Formats: sequence, C-alpha cells, structure tokens
Amino acid sequence: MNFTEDQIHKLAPKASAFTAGKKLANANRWQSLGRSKRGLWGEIKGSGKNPYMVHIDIENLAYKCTCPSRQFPCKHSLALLLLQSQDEQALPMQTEPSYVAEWLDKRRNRAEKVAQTSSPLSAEESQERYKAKHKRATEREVFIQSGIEDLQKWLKDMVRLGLLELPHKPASYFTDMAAKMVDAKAPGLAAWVKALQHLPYQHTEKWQNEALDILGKLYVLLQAYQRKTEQPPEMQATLKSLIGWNLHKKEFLSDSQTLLQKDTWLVLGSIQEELEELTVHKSWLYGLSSKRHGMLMDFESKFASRTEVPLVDGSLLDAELAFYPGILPHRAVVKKQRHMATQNPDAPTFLPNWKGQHDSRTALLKQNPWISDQAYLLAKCKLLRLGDRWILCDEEKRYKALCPDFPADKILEMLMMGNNQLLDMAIVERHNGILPLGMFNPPAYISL
Amino acid sequence: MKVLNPLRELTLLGLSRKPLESVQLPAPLQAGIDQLGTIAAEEKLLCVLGLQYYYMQAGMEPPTYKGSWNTSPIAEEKNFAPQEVVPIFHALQPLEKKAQEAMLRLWLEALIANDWIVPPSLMKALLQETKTFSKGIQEKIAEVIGNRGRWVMEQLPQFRLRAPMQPNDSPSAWVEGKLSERKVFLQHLLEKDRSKALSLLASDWSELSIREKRSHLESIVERVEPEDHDFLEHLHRTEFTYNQKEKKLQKACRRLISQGLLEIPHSDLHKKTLERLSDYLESHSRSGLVGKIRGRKKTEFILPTQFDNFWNPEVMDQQYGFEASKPSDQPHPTDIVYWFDAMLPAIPFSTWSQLMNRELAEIMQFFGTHSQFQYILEDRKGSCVVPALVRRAQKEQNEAVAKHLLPYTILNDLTFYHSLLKLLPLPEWESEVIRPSNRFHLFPARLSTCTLTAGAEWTQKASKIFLDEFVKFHIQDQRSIHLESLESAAQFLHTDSLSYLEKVEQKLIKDLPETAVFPEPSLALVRDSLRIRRRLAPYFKTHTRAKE
Repeated sequence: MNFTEDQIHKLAPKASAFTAGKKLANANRWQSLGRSKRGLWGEIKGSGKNPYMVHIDIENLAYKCTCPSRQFPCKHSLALLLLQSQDEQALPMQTEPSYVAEWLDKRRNRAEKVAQTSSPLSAEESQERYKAKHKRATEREVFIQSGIEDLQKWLKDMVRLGLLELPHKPASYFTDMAAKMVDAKAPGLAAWVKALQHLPYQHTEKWQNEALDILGKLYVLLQAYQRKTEQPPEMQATLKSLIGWNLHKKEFLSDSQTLLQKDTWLVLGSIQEELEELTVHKSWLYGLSSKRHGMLMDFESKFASRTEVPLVDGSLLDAELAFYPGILPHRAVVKKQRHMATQNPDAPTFLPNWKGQHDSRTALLKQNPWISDQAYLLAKCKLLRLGDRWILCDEEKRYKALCPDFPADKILEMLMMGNNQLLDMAIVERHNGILPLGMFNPPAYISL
Repeated sequence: MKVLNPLRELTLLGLSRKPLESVQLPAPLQAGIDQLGTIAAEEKLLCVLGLQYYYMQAGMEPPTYKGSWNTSPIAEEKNFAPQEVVPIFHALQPLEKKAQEAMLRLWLEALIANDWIVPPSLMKALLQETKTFSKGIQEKIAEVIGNRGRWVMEQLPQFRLRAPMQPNDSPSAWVEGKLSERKVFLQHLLEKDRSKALSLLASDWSELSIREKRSHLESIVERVEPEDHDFLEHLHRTEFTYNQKEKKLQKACRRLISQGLLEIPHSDLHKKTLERLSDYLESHSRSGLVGKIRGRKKTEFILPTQFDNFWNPEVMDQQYGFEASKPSDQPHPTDIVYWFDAMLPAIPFSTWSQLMNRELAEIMQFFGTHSQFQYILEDRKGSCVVPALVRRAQKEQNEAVAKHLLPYTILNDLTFYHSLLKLLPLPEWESEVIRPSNRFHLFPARLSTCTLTAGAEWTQKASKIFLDEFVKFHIQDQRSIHLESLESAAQFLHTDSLSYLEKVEQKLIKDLPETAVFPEPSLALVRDSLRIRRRLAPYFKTHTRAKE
C-alpha cells in the first residue's frame, strides 16, 4: 500500500513533524532500509549512540520507533512513509529482519485476541452490573431533567425578550448556562448553548438565521427527550447520545445488539476541529459492498492523546466496524481491522444529482431530525466560482455552496484534477455548507 | 438555511413586543401550531421555530446555476512530464532552502528543455512549495504549468505567480494601456518588427508626454539597430536641439538620442565625433623587439587638459546632452575626462581598434593604466573609465574585452570585476576563479559569477581543486566555508566528483582536529545536490558538459 504525500501529511501529529519527516525522507540519510508485503523498516542515525529503528505495519497501520519522541507517528516514521511514497525502490523488497517479523506477528496475534469478544459474564455478575448501571442511570436522569427544565426556561426568556440583544450579552450569559448543563450531566446540551455563544455575530443575517435554527432544533430535542419513553429504543439511544450520555466503547462492543458490519471500507476523508481545549478528529468511511456510511471520531487534548491509530484518507481497509446504537447508526469504531486493502472490490453507488441528495437527506431527517455531518456520494458534479463563493454544481446545474472556510489549496487540487469536467465526489453536508472529501477518478479515489 | 422573514422579525423583537398571532405562516406550519393546543406563547414560538427549520430543510431545493456552462476539458499543447521525474521533485524537498531553489530551477529547466509540463497531481505541491521562491523560479514555473495550470490560476488569485507581465500584442494595449503597458508593448514590438514599432512611435510621438518619450527612447537605446537612425536623427535635429530654457527631461532625451546615434556608424554624430576624437590621437615610437614586431609607431589617445573647441561645456551639452560640468561625487580628474567617460559606453570597441590601430589587449591596458584616467578616492583607486568600458563590454557581451579588462577592474571595484567574470566562457572563468591556494573562490560573491547553461558543469579538475581547498580551509584554517558558497558549488561541481567527495569526507574525518566540527550538513548538501543533478542529467537534450 503506497500513500500519497498528502495522505502522509494528514497522518502527521503536527506540521513541524511532517516538515522534519520530509527532511529525513532521503535514502542517503538512512543506514538501512527495507520492505516486505506487510511492513516497512529502516535504521537512521539520531542523536544517540545507536541508530533509531523504525518499523511500520502497512497492512494494519501502526508505527514503532526507538526514538524518544512523544509525537506519534514520529518524524522518522513519517520519513519512512514519505520515502516509500516518493520512490518505492529506495526500500528494497527483503526478508523481514527478525525484530520486524516478531513485532508484526505480535500485532497480528493481538488483533485477533481483541477481536474475540470478551468472555461472557456469569448471570450473577450480569445482574449486579445491571443493577449498578440502572441506579447510576436513574440518578443521572434526575439531574438531566432538572437541567432540561432550566434550559427550557432560559430559551423561553430568550424568545420573550427577543434575540436582538444576543450579540451584546456578556459571555457569562452563555457560559453560566453551559456550566449548568455540565453540572446536570448533560454535556451535549452544553455544546448547543456554546454554539449560541459562538455564532458569527459579525454577519447579521447569518447569526440570526443560525440562532433561529439552533433554537428550533434544540427545543424539539428537549421535548423529544422528555417523552423518550414513548420512542423506540433506537430513538432513545439517539436522544441520549445528543444529550450527552456517552457510551463506553468497551460497553457497546460487548453488547450483542451492536450493529457490526464487515466490509472493504474506503476512507473518504477526514477533518479535525478545535473545540475549546479539545481536538476532534472525524473520518468518514464508505463500505463498498454494504454501501453503508460510517463516521469515526477520536479526541485529543492537552492531557490525552488520540486513542485510535489515524486512518489514511483515500485508503481501503478490510475491517469490521461496530456502530454506536441509534435510529440511523452512523458513528462507529473499528472493531477489527484485518489489513489495508489494495483492490477496490465494488464500485460505489452515487446519488445522481443534488435533487437525489436532497431527497435522501430529507428521508434521513424524517427519521433523525438532528442528523449532521452525513457523507454522500454524488455523481457528476463540477466546481464553479459564483461571486466570492465556490459552488458544487450537478449535471442539471443545481448547486450547493462550499463551506466558506474550505481551503484554497484543496480547491486548486479539485480544479487541477477535475480539468473542467464533471466528477463523481464524496461530500459531507454541514450546517454552513458542503465539505468535499474527495474525487473518484476510476480506478483511483483522490482524497482532498 | 434561510428563515421565514416574519418569523425571524418576531423572534428578534420578542413576544413581549409582538404576538405570535400577528405572523402569517404558511399553511403547513399553521396546521402544526393548531395541533399544539393551548400552551404558553413562548413554547409555541419555540415549537414553530423547530417546525419551520424542518419545513425549510425539506422544502427548499438547491438553487439553479444560471451562469455559462462548459465542461470541455482544458487541452494541452505539451506532454505531461513522465512519472520518473516526479520522485526527483520529491527528493528536492529535504534540501535547505537555497540548494532546494537551485535544484528546483534545474528540475524546471529539465522540463522546459524537454517541452514537458508538470503533471496535474504535482501542481499543488509545486505551487505550495514555491510560493516563497524567487521571481526567476516563478517565471520558470509559469512555463511548465500548461494551459490547465493557467486556467486554475485565473480562478485562484492567491496562487498566481510573480511572473513578468506578459506582452500584450493587442493594439488596444498601445491605445488604451497605462504607461507601463505601452512600454512593454513597444519593447515587444521593437523585438518583433522594429520598423513597425518605429513608425507607430513616430505617428503618435507628438501626443506623448516628455516622460513617456524618455521611456520609449530608453527602450530603443537599450539595443540600437541601424534602422533606428532616421528616427533618432530627426529627433536630434528637431525636437531635442539645444534650447536655453529646456527642462531636465529634454536634456535627458538628447543624451539618450546622442548615445543611440553614436552607436550607429553611418550617423552624422558618429562620424563627426570620430573625426573629432581622431584629433586627439598621438603617435609615439616603439622601441626594441616590440617595435620590430608590432611596427615602430604606437597610437595613444590623449585628452586636452584645457577646454578647446570640442571638449567644452557648450558642445558637450548642446550636442550630447551631457552635464556642463562634472558632478561633485564623480571621481574624474577633469570635466573633459568626465565627458569622455560619458561617451565611452556608446562607442563600440571596434571603433577604438580602428582609431588606435592596436590590439584589444593593448587598448584595455591603455585605458586601464594611463595616467590621465587615474584617480584616488578614499579607499579606491584606478582608472575612472573602466566602469564605462565594463558597461560597454556587457552591452556587446564581449568575452575578449572581459578577459583583457579583468586586471584593471579588480583594483577599481569588485562589482565591475564580478560583472566581467560573468562574461567569461567556462575555461577562462575556471582558470581565473578556481585556482589552487586561492581562497577567494570559496566566497559566495565570486562563485555566484558562474553562469552556466542548464545541465553544464565545472570540469573535474576545477571540481577537485574546489573540494581540496574546502578541506584545507577546514583543516588548516579551521574555518567553516560559507553555506552560500557550497550551495553555489553544489550547482556546478562535476557530477562525477561524487566519489572524490567521499574521499574528501574520509580525509576530513581522519585529519579534522578534535576541536573542529565535522561539516556534515554542508557535505550532505553538496552530496544530495550532486545526486539530484546526476538524476536530472539525462533529461537535458543538449547536455553541455564542459571540456577538460
């Protein structure tokens, strides 16, 4: 599996690590280099006495380097990937050295073990756990209900007095309410309140429209949550997740009801967003056989690094995804990754135009009114400039505007690769516009 | 997402100022409200906002694009560079900025030499990497981006290259353009069709401002051709004849015109000037062997020490547009030498050969050493006419003059010495600059005078001398060579000197004093650049390897 420079760039934990990796991506700097079907390895002189030994599992992406860096992947691992991407011949095909083979075998064995579901609990243990969980849930529910009441009152006051004063409200007006929601164990609601605080108040029409949308959606959520017992279990799970009930990965992986999907997944693209002191990484995947979409999320903060190995945009991986419960299961985790695939087994299915996408989205909204960040595959569209905006136009000339902060270098790449022609694309519809993830240029997929 | 206006107004104002019932809602929304029954007005409004969000989301289809629609692919006249050159581009990235720029230039030149354009997949990396590079590099990039690249740049101004203004051949550029556009238009036309350019200029001349006239005269005088004669002669006789009340720009124009005419052998001014100059030739007898070989007489050009009927302020100003007396910051010993110096850049070297009947080497020696031209000013001394001769040599691209004039410039000013070094062909340049025990060639300014065509390189001999001196500099002097020098050398060292470089490294490892630092980054820079150049060498069709 060969990655492109852009893909490797996205794997870098920091821009500086990528730049440093680039400087080391020169075969002459390495004391030894090699590759096998499943791994890459090399030795490079560092500041220490012994050279650093770098090895990379390219089937089930993972890195190991003996350097003391806390960055992951480190500059040496990035350099090795870059070297392979620039000139594969620089890494001669060889028998794996024993230390590389050992590491790769260990990883295989561990992956097999992890994939096996943990041993079932005894009836007594299950009973105890259920009781404890139920007690915690009941206690939390009381907090949440009181929080919802506070929030509803706050919203009612807001519409009674009018939103015109919103831009002039002190920060504490929002932060106090957000803190109340956190205290009420409803962090999901706190995020809605913060969204009101961070509206684009410099653009009059924009903030007013967005504020009204948030108020509408939030109120419907609060109402629905209060009547959640009338809803089917999947909807209850969606509502709880929106309020901020976090389901532990281990917990839902061990649940026999969890939706599992084996497939060859195409990594459509990824983004990272800064939310106060938290960095959220989102990756969108598309199952080529199941035609199912999934979104992986990973979090990073000053105190905690990412828990998942980042996926490479545009790559294919044979994996089993476990979906979080919900009315339209979307967020997922990789339960078992067998290996990075090199062959694209099935052609994706595309929506014919924006009308088709609109209908598809409306159908999803009917089931989950709070659906967001949903990816779509759209056939034959073209990037065009309309005034100061970039739009994505379908064959019937219907269009949607790109997110205003979509980077210019990605637009450059789309224009260069598109060459003024219609392209099949992967996109995400976000609250402020369309986020293109990549282009299909059969048999290749070019992630942006 | 757009919001229904009446509802937005109400929510902004607040229910305390306006009741919900005052808003006329679409029927489906109204029906939704009716179903809510009797609840508080605030709750009702919040419900309506929720309903209207989904109403708008579901009901508002994407708009239709009304602009022009064309999906024809952008055709290219040139082929995309083959896949093999892509890894070479990536190999440039770990290099230090300057070395990277030099190697990138070579990579671009390889593409240009083969009439290739950059593959689309590489365009983003190329434009991102090169944003900060020099205008020269950006000009080369402009040559390899192809039609598709140009089309993309039209749409994305942030990626536009700092390439020179493209000459606009459309006559509208002359009629409607700004001064700078008109100048570019005329320069381009002068190159393409000089007589057409001159007749266009003549027809519009009367309408031009004096500033624009000067600007176009500069373009003509930059490279005078015999066919410019009539135009210049006419101006010299009519519009720019001396006038007591003339302005400075008028005089500047006369000076430009006279410079142009001086370069045209059949012009009256050239003939008259030559006639007058010949009055100052003095013959002296040569003695001994030189006299027997070269003839008994040698001719010298001796300027008068007092004003006469030619060398005087009136003639110099009225005929040639020179200042009536030398400005105080000029080093010339007299006003006469100053005027002569001003005249020199316009007089071809062949004229001096004719007048003085001497070899170029002797003429250069005469101008470089004769006492009438010598000056001493603060820390500088030498012949004050040498800079004018350097300018003339540059104009004529005269390698022979450059070679003979070199000894007189080094005393004068290093800038002029370096200007002449740039004119030397590689063998002469190497023997002048790269010499054993000559530390000067290790300095960046000296090395930067090497101007080789793409793909050319120093001889192995010169490369070896450079590397030996580099080692000596480190071991004996315990000094570090300037990084810029190594960056220059890395561009020109013979690619076969890689193995010698390895030996040099071994020597350094062995002999370097313990206190000195092993120059690994410097050596790596040269090594990596040489390897890249070796990979690029096959792509230069006219591979101009210097002969040893």
